Amino acid sequence: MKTKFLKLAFKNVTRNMRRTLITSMIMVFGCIALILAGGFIKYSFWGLSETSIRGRYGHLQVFQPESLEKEEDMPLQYGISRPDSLIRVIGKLDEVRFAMSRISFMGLISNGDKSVAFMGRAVNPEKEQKLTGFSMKMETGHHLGEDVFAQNEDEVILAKGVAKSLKAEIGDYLTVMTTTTTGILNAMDVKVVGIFSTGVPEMDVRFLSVKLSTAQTLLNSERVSNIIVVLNETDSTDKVAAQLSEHLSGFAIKKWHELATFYRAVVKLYNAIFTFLGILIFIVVLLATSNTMMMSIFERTKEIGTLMAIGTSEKRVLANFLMEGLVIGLLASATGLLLSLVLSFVINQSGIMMPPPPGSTTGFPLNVHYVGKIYLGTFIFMLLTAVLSTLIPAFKASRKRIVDALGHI
Amino acid sequence: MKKRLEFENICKTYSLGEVLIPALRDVNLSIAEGEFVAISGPSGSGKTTLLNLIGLIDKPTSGTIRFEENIISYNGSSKLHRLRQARIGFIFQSFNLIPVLNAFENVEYPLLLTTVSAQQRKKRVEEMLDEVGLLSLRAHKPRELSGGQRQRVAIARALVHQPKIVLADEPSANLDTQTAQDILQLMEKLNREENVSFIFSTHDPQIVKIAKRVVNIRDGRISN
Repeated sequence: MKTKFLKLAFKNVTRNMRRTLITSMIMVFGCIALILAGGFIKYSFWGLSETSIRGRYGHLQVFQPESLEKEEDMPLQYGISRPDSLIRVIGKLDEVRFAMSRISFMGLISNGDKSVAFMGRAVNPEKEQKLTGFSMKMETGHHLGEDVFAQNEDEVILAKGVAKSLKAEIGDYLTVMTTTTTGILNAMDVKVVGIFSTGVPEMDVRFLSVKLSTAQTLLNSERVSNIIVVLNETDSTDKVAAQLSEHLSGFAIKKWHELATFYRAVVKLYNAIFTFLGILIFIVVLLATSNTMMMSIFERTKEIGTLMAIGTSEKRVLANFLMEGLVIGLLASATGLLLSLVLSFVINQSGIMMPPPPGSTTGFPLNVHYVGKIYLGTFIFMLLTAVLSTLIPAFKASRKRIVDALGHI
Repeated sequence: MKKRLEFENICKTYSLGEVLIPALRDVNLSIAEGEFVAISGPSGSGKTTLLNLIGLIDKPTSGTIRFEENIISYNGSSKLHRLRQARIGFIFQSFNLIPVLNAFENVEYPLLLTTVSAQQRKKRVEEMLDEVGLLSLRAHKPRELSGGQRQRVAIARALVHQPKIVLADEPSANLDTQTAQDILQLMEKLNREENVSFIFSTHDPQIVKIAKRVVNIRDGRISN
């Protein structure tokens, strides 16, 4: 019997096709806007998370807890001693691709005439390249440790801003100065083997990278700042973090997103934009559908009176109109979902480039992720909005006095 | 004969702003099982108001209405819609068919509000369409039917759920003379065969002649 009422709702919806089409189109556009925006935001989150992981943080980082709580008086004061044994333990976990040490240090780099302050990162070149090769764009020269005839050479790769400031070119020798772990000023000559771009202008004028051995000699310490853990899948971050917490007592384990403050800020901002967009679409769809239903109810006032006179209950009248809202919502959402799929495919194939985001120097391809949850969420959201927007007009219709409704012209 | 409906001192007053307009004054009326009653009177005499009260779609200002010897209470609408759905059939002056439904579906609609099975519904609807001579036009939408045919569909819809009373507000007003006669004769035949009380309003003296009982109403009072 309910299918009969559903059929009636469908027939009523198609009664004024032009009006139904206009309302449906508003809902379809709402659907597409939400799905494309959601898919693009998901893509942006994915891109940003991968950039954060590959470019800087890895999936997990292991620290001495004091290094997170206190300010160091000397470099590597709260660094990790004997990192290799920890790396072996970490490497035994199934989901771990590899682990590596890093040293973060600061100092001055000079060409003899001019000195600039730098932020340095000492790395295991082979492993580091597996991680950051994705995000670090080498402009000239090569990565650290690639010259097989100069494995013992103290090399440096400079961000392009540092190189420009020091007028440094490949093959030049520069002097790096910093304080050792005992507070003594130390300096050593390093050979420029590569100039790269980080994609972030602020980083490009300060950043450089050397081998771990170079930094350890310079700092006069065997310690490292932290251990970077790289996993096979980003999704296993939480699981491995829990396992590491069990295996490495006395160490602090930080997940990449806990360290990536910029990523968190962007997620927060994008989520707020998406919510705002959702609210706008909700209001537009609500008004459009309400208006359609109100006009439909107004035109059918006499019919409502007739149905109630022949025994249709108020609840049934309400249900009939809600069903009409549901039918419009169902048809429009399904069309919206389908068109979103097609449009996402077209956009992803088109190779359109987006301009560089704030704080970056390189653009990125416009891409929309297919996210099942967004499709399902939008579908349910649209259905609920359609039903909700029908609620007030339908309620008014069900409360009409039969005699007044029958007398409506 | 068993009493279907009784009106005791029924008054109905409409208010137009601060002006009170009495539509029915102290009406006493009794309708028995199987009666074929015409409510006659000029325009504005209160015929439609009286029919609305009989059909339980309006509420009297004062007085008591008994339906099958039970006093009607207007406090809860659910009881009233069940009474209308089970016991009363309506035929409207302008047919009031649902335009998106075909003849079969229009007649079927009152049965959708009951627990009658699909098979029984189909059987009953076909019987009624056959009765009014429209079985062959079952798939036609109201716009594809003539005025007389539409009114026949409306009659079938009013009778499909086997009500005790059928109310018709000027059922012949929108029809030509011959079709009006045919419709009234059909109603009279169904009244006889189905033992349903028919109450219809009209101001057409030719139509009044067909009725077995005539209730004359003038200025809101029953004059006979």
